[in-house]
Amino acid sequence: MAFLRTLERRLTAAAGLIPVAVAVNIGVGEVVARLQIPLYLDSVGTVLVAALAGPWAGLITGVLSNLAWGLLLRPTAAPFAITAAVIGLLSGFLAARGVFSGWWRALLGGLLTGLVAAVVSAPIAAYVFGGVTGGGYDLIVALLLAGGRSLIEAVLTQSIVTDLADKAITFLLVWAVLQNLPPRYFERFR
Amino acid sequence: MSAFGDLKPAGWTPATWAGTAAGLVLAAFAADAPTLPAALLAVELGLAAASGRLRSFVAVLAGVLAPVGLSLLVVHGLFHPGAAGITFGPLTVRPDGLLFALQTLSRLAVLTGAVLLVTLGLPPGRLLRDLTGRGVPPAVAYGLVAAVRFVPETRARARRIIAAQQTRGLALDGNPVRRLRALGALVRPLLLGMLAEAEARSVTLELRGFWVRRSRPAAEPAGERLLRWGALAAGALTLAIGRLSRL
Repeated sequence: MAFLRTLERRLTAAAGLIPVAVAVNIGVGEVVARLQIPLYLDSVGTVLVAALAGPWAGLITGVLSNLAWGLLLRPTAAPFAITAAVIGLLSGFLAARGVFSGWWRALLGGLLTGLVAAVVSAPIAAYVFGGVTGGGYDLIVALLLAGGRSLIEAVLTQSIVTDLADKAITFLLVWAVLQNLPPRYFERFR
Repeated sequence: MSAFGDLKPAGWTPATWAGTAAGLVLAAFAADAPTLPAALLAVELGLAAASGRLRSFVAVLAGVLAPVGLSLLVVHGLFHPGAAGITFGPLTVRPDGLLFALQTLSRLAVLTGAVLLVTLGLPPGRLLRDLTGRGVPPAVAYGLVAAVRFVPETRARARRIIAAQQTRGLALDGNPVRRLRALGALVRPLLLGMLAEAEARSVTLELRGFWVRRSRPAAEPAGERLLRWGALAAGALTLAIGRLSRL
């Protein structure tokens, strides 16, 4: 019961934050598109919420992000809600263990989260989407298939390459933002 | 109206659309051949037409599936693992790969169509009322509905930050390292602005007593409940039979 009370208190504190974070996850796509960099950065709001309000708030933010994305722009995003949930949960647990206390810890946390995200998302991408998304990363999958890899191997390799870099940069961005927050901001979520 | 209520699709609640959509998606993954998903897509087209959304349904479905379909046909038509090929000049086309691409595309069409059936033309306020009325915690229901409303605003804010930083001389073009360096200057103000806005919204919502759970809404027609759970059960059963028959 104590766990549920803590969870409810944290969710209430995070309730105003979660929808804005979901919108940022989607809105940051504008920046990525303008810079033409091969990253997603679609979990930056999720990781920030998880760092502030804990793993369960991170999980909810991740799931809602993909559902909102599916509702608004990309209906095919919905199956990846599982991956987004895992990213939110894991980054919250890592944050509670001090992963954002230094830039190199944030980098390592991002790499670990990227690896887990790749392992979780690869079977979904391979089974539901046949390993392609209609984007530039399909070229990597095609090259790996041409090289004799199986579909799941090709998708997993592509996911690891992209997710490691993506989540490492996401965690570094969140670490940089947390350095600029006043201490009173953290108090609301304790 | 019958004892089960008016069952015209135009009047279905979001939950009934969601249950029906989930049943269709489950059934789509029951078989490898594209014939079953094609039949399910025909059902979705019928439902879209019956609810007066056929034109927008077809337009969005085509827009979403076109790039994925093209990628599927190229990647699997030319490089599908383990498939024998027919050589045309420099290209080797793999018929098994093309069939796999069609199977995957047909399932994706059902999945995408199902999401569109739930979401196209659904006012966020109606979704919020329906979710909270069914016992979803207000924080979660508000999170989804408010996010849907904030997305266009946040994208516009991202564009304003990009324009403002460019005016201050931030270079957004050039080599990848230079563009990566610009990332922090663009994403940090977006995140800090988000945190400031979230704090203000939390205070407003608490002052309005938003987190007090509302009473349940009026009961829906029995026919809709039956339809929703029936579609879901039929989808799950089709999937189970399809998978077990392959063992």
